[in-house]
Amino acid sequence: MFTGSIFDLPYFDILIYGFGVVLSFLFVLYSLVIVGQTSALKKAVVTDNGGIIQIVSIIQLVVAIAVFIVSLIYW
Amino acid sequence: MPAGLKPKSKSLSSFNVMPNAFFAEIDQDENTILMLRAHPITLVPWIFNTIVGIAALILFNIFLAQYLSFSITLRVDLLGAVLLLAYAWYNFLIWYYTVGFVTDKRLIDIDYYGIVKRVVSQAPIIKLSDVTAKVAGFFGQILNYGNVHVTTEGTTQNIEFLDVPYPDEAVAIINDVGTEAAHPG
Repeated sequence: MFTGSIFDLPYFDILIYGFGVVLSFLFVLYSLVIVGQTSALKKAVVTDNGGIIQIVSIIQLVVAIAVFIVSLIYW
Repeated sequence: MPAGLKPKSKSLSSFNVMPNAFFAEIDQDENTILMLRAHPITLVPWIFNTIVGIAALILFNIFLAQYLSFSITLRVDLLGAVLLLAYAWYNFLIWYYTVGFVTDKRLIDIDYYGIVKRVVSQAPIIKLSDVTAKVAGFFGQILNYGNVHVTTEGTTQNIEFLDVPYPDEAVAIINDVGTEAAHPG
């Protein structure tokens, strides 16, 4: 029976790393969808803030890609 | 356009009179009289959830990070932060783009259910038969927000603007616009 801490479990690191890579990759895909959608929304409902919203969505995509790269580098 | 109506519009306001905003299918000679969004109080649940998420991340760094390696801590922090950002941004977008328009020709209700599903309902302003404001609940009474139900004649789509601020004022404006459209001049 294993009696140590959960952090000492075999393959704990690999599990966390793999989970991080998969999750950050899904986040990149999600951010791509958001960028596409905000572009469509900007045309569907025209307001003063459409451009700013588009920029924030692009920033989210850049952050998502950066997190994905960090996840891979620290593999 | 109803006489005596003064423009009242701010960047993230929920109740905009004669705003500098319109929708894709608007006609050249059509003017936006009113643009409605849900009252900002409806944002409280997801803002609260985001704050709880941030607190959880801080607590993780205080109490659990010492047991983990730097790379795992970094990974959890980054993923936690971006997930919270995505959650908050998604909810903001849903709120921001779920709008109702009243123009001098029609009523348009644009609803987003998730970021990829959009439902647009519209009704000609001359076909209005009944416009009702319904304010319910403690916060609705205190903060003066509620639903505006617009019933139209025949088989035309009924329109609902949910949780909008100043529903009585919205009803008055819609009635004025409808009366003016039905009896021009």
